[in-house]
Amino acid sequence: MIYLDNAATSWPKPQKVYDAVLEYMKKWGANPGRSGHTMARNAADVVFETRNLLCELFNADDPNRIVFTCNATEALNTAIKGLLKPNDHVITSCVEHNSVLRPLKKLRGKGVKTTVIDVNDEGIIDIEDIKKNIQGNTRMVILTHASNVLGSIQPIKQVGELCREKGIVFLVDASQTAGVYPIDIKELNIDLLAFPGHKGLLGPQGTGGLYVGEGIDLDSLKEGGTGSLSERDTQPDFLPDKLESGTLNTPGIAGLGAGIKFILETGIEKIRKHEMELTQYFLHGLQNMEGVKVYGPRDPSKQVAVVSINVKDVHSNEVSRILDGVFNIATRPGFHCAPLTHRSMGSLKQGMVRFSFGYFNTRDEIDAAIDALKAIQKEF
Amino acid sequence: MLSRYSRQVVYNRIGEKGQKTLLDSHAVIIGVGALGTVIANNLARAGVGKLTIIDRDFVELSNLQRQTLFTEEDVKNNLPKAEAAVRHLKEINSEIQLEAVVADFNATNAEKLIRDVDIILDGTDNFSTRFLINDVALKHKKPWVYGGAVADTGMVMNIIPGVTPCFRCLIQDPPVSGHTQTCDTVGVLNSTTGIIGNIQAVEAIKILLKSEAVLKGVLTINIWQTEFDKFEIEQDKKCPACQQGKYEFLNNRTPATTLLCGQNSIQVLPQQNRDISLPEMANRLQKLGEVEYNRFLLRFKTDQYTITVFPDGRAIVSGTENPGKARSLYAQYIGN
Repeated sequence: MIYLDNAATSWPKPQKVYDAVLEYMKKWGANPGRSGHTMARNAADVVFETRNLLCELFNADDPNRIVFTCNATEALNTAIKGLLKPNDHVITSCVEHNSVLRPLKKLRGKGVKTTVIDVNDEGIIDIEDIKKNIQGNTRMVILTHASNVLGSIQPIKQVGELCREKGIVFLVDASQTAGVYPIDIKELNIDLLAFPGHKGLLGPQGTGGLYVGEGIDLDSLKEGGTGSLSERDTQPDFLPDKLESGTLNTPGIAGLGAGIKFILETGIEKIRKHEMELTQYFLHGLQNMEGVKVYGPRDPSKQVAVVSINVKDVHSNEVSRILDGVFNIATRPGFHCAPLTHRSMGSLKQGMVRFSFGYFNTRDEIDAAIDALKAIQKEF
Repeated sequence: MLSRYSRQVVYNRIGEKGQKTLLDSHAVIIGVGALGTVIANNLARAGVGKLTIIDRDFVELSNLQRQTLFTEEDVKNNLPKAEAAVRHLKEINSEIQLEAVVADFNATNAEKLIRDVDIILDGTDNFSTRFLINDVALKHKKPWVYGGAVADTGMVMNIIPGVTPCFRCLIQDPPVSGHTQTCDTVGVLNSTTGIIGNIQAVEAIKILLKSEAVLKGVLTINIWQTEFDKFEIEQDKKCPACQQGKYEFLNNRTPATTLLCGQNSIQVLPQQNRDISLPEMANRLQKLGEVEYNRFLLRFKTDQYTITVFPDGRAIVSGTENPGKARSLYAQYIGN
């Protein structure tokens, strides 16, 4: 199988990720932060080490402000629902994932106002659209770092500066960039950073997190056991406990730690460079290919390693099925949980076939994908 | 009270005692199409005390040629088959209990639906459901009556757990998708389904009355040649279902469909992937709707639905968000 669906979940993982999960479960599989015994302490150390690694990766100072979640969706829900109150105003973009759009839709029913700004043909927002929509009650700007459909990288540095200047909380969805594109939360003025563990960070599914900046106080989505202040009937008000109830996915977090170590050792610049080369190579192969339409920036410097296409008027589900069934190539068709992106690009009927590359993909695999697309387009 | 059944009561193999047994019995009819309507009609009139009727489909005009309980009015009202059947049966016999279940009969609900019944009648149009019925019937030791009909041929077999061979002794595994004939692709005469359904109904009555005269072996008919035949089958000593107690179809609760991230599209996954000849399939389907195909896929359009079939037997059904409907269309046109 040629796996080109890394934007959904990266695969394969570095060997050390698999090893770390197994080793943790066999050696230290106790409950972190609950009992004082050696195994529990070692379990807690594994969790804390991963918090430290995340701080190193994102240039954050306080590991306690890294909150573990099951995925980026839970992190985004925690940030959005934990901050916004009735009559607050939010600005977001049309290239957001449903994990932003659906919580906002729900909050709309509770009196939160939302402005969704459009993108240009390349799938990139214009900061002026944010500026002109800022109101007195604008509490938050939510922006994906890169579109999960088009790969288009958003100008988060400029948006971060604007938000800092206006005193607006800036939430960044790093689902497509964490681990594959440099993120410095200080330089970028990010208040809240939601990230999945199972994509660019190379960890197992069921991991993810939210970085909560200094001075940001979020309501908890859920309350329960934290192993701290157990005698009290209220949730602790300090991080990470306030937002981390219940036993964590420690085997997953151990694997996530190994994934981040791999990234730090390899160097994020090297990873980015490899993925840019693959993207460039693929885009080049698609150039002038009859019957294939490419969406997004079509420029590796403006996108992550995500390229979506369509073949003539064939439904993306069918093309993806053929790539899978005949050519053993895994891609993602349909709407990628981002309906507004597709509305904006005019692809609501057909969807798109998304190719997304990872650090372990090779040029040969891209060649195979290009040959497959050539063969497919000939038949329609 | 028994007077309405007087013609059965005076029939010496049923009698008053037999009639009372029938009135105390509960039969489930899985699928109320061509066979199911005939079976339900007979069993309701014969006074089987409780009938549960399960079907996931809605009445369509092309059903009326053979599905005897339904009317044009049902089509107009777009009634679920199970409900339409129960409405008509109530007019026929208001003294029995009738229950409509509008649902896909599958591994997640099979046990619950058959737990309290005395007998199961097969009114389905596809093999995967029959293999499931076989498993659940064996596990719960319920007799069931298999019936199948297509074009001018039909088959009936009684499966009585612990007594007769089972369905998997007859056919070990479901036939490959796309290679079976279905009523939608080769047609069916209403006399075929009428005769098969009638025989299933009387077999059910015999089984309920514990008659020695139950059909043993397999009955086959060809009504165009006017041939009726019976053959015996042996219990397969290695049968995974009735000998080894492995209920593979009942224990496989993986859904046979997945909702695709696309508008109105459902992917149907066959039980096993196989090579389907798309040209052959195109040939079969072209009488029934618009067909186009190439090396990679075949698209078949009928009514508001498009079925895209891939050579490995998977299909994408567009035009519905209902997995049951998608499976029905697959069973009707691709066959499984």
